Amino acid sequence: MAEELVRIEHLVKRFSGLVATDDVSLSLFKGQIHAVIGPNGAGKTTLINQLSGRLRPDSGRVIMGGQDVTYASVAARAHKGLARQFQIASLCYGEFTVLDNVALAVQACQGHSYRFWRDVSKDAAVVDPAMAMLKRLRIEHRADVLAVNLSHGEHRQLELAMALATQPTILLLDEPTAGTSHDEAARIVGLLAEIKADYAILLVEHDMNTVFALADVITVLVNGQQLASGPPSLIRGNPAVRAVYLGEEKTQGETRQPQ
Amino acid sequence: MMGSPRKLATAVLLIALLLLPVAAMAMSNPFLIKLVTRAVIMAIAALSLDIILGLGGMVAFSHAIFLGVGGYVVAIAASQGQFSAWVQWPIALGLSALISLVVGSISLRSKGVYFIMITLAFCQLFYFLAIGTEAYGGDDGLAIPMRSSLGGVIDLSDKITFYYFCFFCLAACLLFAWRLSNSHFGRVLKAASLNEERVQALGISTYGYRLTAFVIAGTMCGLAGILLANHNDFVSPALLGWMQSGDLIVMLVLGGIGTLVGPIVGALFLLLIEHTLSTVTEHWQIILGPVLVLMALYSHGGVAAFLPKGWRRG
Amino acid sequence: MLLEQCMNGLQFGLLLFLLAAGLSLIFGIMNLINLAHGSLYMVGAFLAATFTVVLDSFVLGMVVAVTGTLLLGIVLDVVVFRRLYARTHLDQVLATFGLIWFFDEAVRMIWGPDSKTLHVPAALAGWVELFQGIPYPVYRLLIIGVGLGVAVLLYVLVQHTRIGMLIRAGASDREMISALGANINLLYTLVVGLGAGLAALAGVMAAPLMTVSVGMGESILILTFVVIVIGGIGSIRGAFVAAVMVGMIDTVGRAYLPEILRLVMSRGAASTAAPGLSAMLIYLLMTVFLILRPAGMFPAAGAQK
Repeated sequence: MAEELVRIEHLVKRFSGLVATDDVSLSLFKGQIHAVIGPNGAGKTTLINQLSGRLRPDSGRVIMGGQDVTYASVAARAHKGLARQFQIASLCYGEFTVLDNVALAVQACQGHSYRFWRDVSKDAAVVDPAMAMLKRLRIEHRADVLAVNLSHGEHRQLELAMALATQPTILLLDEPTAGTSHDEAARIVGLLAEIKADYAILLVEHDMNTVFALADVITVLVNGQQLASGPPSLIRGNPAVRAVYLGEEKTQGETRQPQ
Repeated sequence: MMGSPRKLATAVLLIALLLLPVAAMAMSNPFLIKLVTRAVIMAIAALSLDIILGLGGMVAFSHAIFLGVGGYVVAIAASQGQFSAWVQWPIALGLSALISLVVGSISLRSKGVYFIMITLAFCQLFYFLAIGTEAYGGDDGLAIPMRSSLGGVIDLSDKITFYYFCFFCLAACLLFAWRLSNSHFGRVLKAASLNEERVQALGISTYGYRLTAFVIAGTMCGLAGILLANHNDFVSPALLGWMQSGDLIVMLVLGGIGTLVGPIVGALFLLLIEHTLSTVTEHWQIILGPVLVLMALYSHGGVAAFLPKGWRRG
Repeated sequence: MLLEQCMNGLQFGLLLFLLAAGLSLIFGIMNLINLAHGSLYMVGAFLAATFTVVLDSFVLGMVVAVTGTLLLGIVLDVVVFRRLYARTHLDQVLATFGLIWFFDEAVRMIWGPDSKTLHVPAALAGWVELFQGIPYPVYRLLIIGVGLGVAVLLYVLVQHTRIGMLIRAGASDREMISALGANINLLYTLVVGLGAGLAALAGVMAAPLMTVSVGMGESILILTFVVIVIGGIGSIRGAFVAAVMVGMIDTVGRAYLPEILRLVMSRGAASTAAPGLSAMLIYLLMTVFLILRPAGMFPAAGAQK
């Protein structure tokens, strides 16, 4: 029986009158990719925010590894093994390079950073794992480029590299292939398939090809409500889902517009 | 992460400062030494501010507090007949650390505009504390009959010895600040100032790091306060007002934030302005005011912004 | 005696309210940290000191002073503030700090370094009987009246007009204003003008009670910040409650602290500690408040950035 790493119970979130999350419950298991799909405004990002700790639910619980983390901070949950990829790219820009960003992630999972003297760019314990991670994502050739100068696709790859570098057990991915080229998207899908055995992954996606290629379980969210949850075959065949969502999505999927 | 041209500039400046007393004596202008001593001391204060402002991105108006704490401990001890630096200075530095811990722990729970206003208010709190304490001079301040005594060879009452002592302190603080900015700690601090949310999402709780930086900066500024009190042979509440904190920020911005050489340049520059422009007109603030406004609107990094691209970070 | 001190506290609090209301809106809607707000207060007072004499009329002098400062505020918005709205707080601090230097020096150059005095006109210099034969200065009652009147006007403006709706929307969500189809630049300029006018009004009314001197803006500015921190950024209601609270505690505290201290300390220690402690009192209050409620009493949602 696969290990249950995260469980959400009856999550509810309101924004002055609007119910963004309406009694959602699901579980994330190790080795499993759980996709969350739904039209724009369905509340997918709000759901991820409540999982990562950025938002507090109005009622319901979030349980990680058996512990109730509903009111735990973002940093506390990240420390417990939760890693997140943001929908809108969020890196350290300014003078930080690609390597600097991943090195920061490596630093974050290596205990505390209260070291005041040693030059971190010469610390092999940080730099080596960071370069290894860049290699894995095939962007090591961009290591010394300023993060602010990356292409959109490279942004997503760097975000993924940072998420993986913290050695998490749970991955929350918010549209990892959005805005990427066909090849980049395929590469990300390939990587996710490769690594999924070690993580419990929640995947928010618009691209149906990616979803049906990767997902073990799919949850359909419409207006904050859980319309259906189950294996892909079940969802594909569900008439309610087809009516509300898959119909329009299939057209979008075929023309494949960049986000 | 410091470009070689900037390392060169810092080295040149330090060597120039090192040789200053020689030059001053040669020019028969010993007053110059006293002038530059003040600039060196203010450079230490500005450098300490750079740790939280330049590296940490925190616009803190509370820094003048520590100039006051350092200075008043020395003055009060002296008024009680205690002149030994080995007693005065640890107390001054310890108290600076403690107060920065308290002020920081409360202020850092807020962000943005709130943080700025809270640090401003704390600055005023200590200003009124100094004014209200009649026993130690109140509004008029307190004279220091004799400088701190280090015992033995180093005599701080000698102008040149005192200058080199301050210079040595500046060099040591520079070295520390440089290592700090490249360290694990410095990297987290810098990242948090660039994208706080990202750093939290990686599992780092930024509050502790910011507070630590606040304490380090406050203590270093306390050192500047100690030296300033000895330099002036006098302390007064005027050291502590929020406008003084503002002056430090201006000094840092004029010289260049986060550039390590910036605090020195800024302190010397402001000194130059006060002593040359003021001979031309005593209303120099009416010129410098709009200059600041223009700088804020059109340039991003003080004097450093006017340097060729390769000199700047990134 | 206590009643008199409470009235004085109310009067001082209402002056603070005039300053805080405008500044709080500027913080909340435009996310602009404006250190030069105190300078507008100062300019208002100086203009009043001159024009009440030149025009030989207290009322006319006040009107000119407030109008002049309001216009100055609008000019500042168009020339300086407009370019600062998108900038970092550090840039805003730097620019408005430079403005303080500029205004301090300009006032010094125009009016000279000495402080000015402004006299309460004869018609208002008398006393009025409150309850039980307790006399109270007419002028201070006027300030209370004007302050309360402005509070009511602001309430009506914010709650019952379209501009007020835009202001309330802007304080909690800036993008809403453009989504509602309003001219942002015009709205911002109006808010700055309003703030400047209120600050000038405060300066003008306070002038006869305090010395009109360069730097008078700097000291009251920080107290204004305390009011805003306690009341919550972007909230006029918060500014009102906090201002009255701060005004009362500061005034009554200063008056009665020596006696309270004498209960717990020796007479000598009490008189030494009292002056310093009473000035610090408000800042201590703010500290306690912050420990308990970091976002202020009535924070406009999303205003803490």
